[in-house]
Amino acid sequence: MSLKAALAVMMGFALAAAAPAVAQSSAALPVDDRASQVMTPSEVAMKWDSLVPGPGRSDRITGQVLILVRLDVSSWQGRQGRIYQRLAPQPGSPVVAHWTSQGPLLPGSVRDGERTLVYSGTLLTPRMEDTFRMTLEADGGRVVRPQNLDFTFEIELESAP
Amino acid sequence: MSHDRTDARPGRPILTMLALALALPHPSPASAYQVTIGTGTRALYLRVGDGTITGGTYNAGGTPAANTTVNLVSVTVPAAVVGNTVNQAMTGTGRLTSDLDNFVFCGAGQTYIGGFFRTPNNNAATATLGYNAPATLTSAGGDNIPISQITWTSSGNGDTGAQPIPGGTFAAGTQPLATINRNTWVESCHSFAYGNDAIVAAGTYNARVTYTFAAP
Repeated sequence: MSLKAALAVMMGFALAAAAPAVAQSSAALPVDDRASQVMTPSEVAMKWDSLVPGPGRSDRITGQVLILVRLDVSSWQGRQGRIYQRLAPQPGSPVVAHWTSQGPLLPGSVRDGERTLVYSGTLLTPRMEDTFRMTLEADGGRVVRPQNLDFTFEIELESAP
Repeated sequence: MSHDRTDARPGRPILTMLALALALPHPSPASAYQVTIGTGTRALYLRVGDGTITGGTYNAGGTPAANTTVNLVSVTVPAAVVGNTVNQAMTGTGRLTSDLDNFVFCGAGQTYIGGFFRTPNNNAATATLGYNAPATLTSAGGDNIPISQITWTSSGNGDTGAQPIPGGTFAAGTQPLATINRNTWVESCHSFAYGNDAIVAAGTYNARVTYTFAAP
């Protein structure tokens, strides 16, 4: 095989690999949410669901927090995509977050280490804003010290620019 | 060679860095909002005698509340038997039902004592139930009866086996009564008795015992 032929084959492979990525754009990209605000003091007060312990009684603790979500999606304005909210894993004590929203983002819930869809459709504006009223649930027996929960947003694009 | 370094154009590294930055497809910095959750609130609850619960029983979602009542446990010793060393049963005035489910856990004249220690599962595994008692019961005339003349047994309707808050004899000062594991509900009913071991002057003898519940 000549050098010229070899180069042609290599380029062919490269193009074949790149084509599906452009068509599907399925790789999750981080969404800039630096403008989001947590409207709660430094630590969310967690209350026992059942103050009194006992057989068959819940050890769950819950707390509420208000989040002003501001997502910068200007890089993908006009395109179609799915936005997910992800909660980082909490190895010591599993956490579940439930939230309501006011739109355009969806209400939902997410377990730590997982993600949940909060938007699907055309990104009409450069910025998306919403208010999440979030309820956090954890095993009160296992949360033995304050625990940081990191929420991120990521987008999967469905259409080419 | 140092001569080569001198010849290098100082602007080149800066141009390279700019080119790399521009080449990034989406300048999305790492970002996340962070929420910090606290631990479940530690709670200690102790009921001796009467108690208060709001919103129904515990099983119905009720919540314990403060109750400042001091219940009296008493006995009147007939003159004919004073000092005959036969225990005289004392009777209390406190409520007999458990706040867990309104079950009548104590018998007539018994004194209910129960509580719980709510905490995350860290090192503070137990709470200590104790009491503080004076050295004597004292009459208005200044006569005394040793506090050790007061004893109690422990039971509970429908219970089998050892009670979590056992029987005993009062001693002066601060004394331990039981160790309560975290996140467990305990309750017992105490039946008090006067030892009647000595002939004492007629009169009404009083003492106040204060129960304490503490966690590290």
